Amino acid sequence: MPLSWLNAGILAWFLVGAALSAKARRGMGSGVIDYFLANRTVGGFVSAMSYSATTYSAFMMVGLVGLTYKGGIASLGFELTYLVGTVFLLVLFAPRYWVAGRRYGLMTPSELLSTRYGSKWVGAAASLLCLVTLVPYASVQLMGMGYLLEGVSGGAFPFWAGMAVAAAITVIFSIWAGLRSVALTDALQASIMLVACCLLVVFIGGFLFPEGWGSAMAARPDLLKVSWPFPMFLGLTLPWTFFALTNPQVVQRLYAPKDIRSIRGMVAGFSVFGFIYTVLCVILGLSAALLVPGLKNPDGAMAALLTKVPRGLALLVVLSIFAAAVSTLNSIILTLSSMFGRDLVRALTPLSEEKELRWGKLLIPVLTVACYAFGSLKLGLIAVLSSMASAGLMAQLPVILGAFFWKRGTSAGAIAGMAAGALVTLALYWTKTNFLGQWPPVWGLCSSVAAFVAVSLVTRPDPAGGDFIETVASDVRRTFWQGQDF
Amino acid sequence: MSKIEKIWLGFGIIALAANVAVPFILMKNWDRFSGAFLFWCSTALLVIGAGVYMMFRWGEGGRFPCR
Repeated sequence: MPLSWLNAGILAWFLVGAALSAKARRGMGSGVIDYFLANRTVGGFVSAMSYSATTYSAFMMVGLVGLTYKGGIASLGFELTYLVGTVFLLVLFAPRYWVAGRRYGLMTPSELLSTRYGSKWVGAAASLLCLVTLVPYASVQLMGMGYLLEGVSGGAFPFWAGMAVAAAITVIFSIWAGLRSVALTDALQASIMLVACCLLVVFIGGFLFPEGWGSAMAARPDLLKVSWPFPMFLGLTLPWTFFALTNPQVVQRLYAPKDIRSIRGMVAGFSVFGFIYTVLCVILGLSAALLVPGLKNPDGAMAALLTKVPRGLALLVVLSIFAAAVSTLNSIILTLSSMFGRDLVRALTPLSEEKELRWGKLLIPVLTVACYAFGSLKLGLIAVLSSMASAGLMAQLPVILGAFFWKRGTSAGAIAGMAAGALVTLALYWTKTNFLGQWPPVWGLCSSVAAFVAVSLVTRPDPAGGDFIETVASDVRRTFWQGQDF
Repeated sequence: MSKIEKIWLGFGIIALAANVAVPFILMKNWDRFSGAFLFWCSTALLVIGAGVYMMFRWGEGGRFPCR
């Protein structure tokens, strides 16, 4: 694809996004809740599209397509298990996060842990863990853009330039109007992602497989077999199944819907979006395996596939992947920035709301540069890097579950659980050890549970923790199941 | 946790376990769309449908002045 087409397409898309950002800025107030949570007034449709765009990143059209290209249909199971897990968890936990956010005035996921366990150090530890683990995951978005633009332009758009453009746009969309801007541009981006993916599948099915897609697959029946080793499936799937609870950029979205109807719209809309988008991406991966076999780097499958379609369509798909990457990245950066100000800086020193906001905004470009630097290292397969980041975040899982359901959980136990889980996961990944044949996330989770429970049982729980659990449970029962107000 | 949430919890755990175990135990060498592809799509649609049903049982309360 000519460089001029790519430049023009990216510029046009950026201008539309910038116009939306500017529109979002007009209605913005001055506080941190307004900046990071859009003052808890996001409607159902925007919530659904924004949640989808945040969750589904460049990983889908680059990483998942590559994973399917390399390993066949098992990648569908991996990704749909994530979707099933997310729907399951959201129905249970979205009400709890939403009422807790309103009842206690919470802004970040880590703040909920601080409040529940009665210690600001729990929130600080969770925020630190998120900062460390999400940098690789966020970098994956930039890497995806780098690989894709380099691939479709035949090297004219270098890897570093693709990453730099995505990083610059991320900073602009995030810093301008916080979540108001991010949610609105996300909604636009989610629409582009779905439309482009649908058009690509329709074109490939109609023009490149005239004999029918099912008949074409007869040439590669091996792709329809579940060929992954089970430990690999479990190792990749386990962290993603709990993504909806452990990844702060999506958890924070549960505070933002304006009412219960909006939460319902968000979860239902995301579920439908996720199912369609996942199945389409897997079909694209299978199609790439048939049309462009023999690639050394599976992450280049989408770029190779785009050489088979008209330039206009290819450009739209490239923009959609760009949109997916930026929408995920800006949400991560925004959330981490809010956590930095609220859970780390405020844990160390008293801070006015104005200064907290300034710290948060300062971190937006700093984090983006850190992600760019990490992405430049070009470490490993995109899918594995993404899953590794989610594995690190999974160290929070027992602590999060304990926050809502286990009164005996203590702050010391929470910190010990997160530390043990993260260190074991990191050590096993670092040394490339699959103990007893299982991948690091399995052992990371086991360590986290063991440390959380053991340390909690030998330390004294904060009595206010029990009150938190009862208050949230009571609020959920009254508002969601009995239709009462707070 | 309400009774319906407990039912949802059990249903979700079974669906997740089946999603992981069934294709690896029963469909490993099934090289057609009627194998793992169909199974995973059906399970996902079933859970999404059940989730939407659950959410439509939510009330319309929860009005609260934001802090």
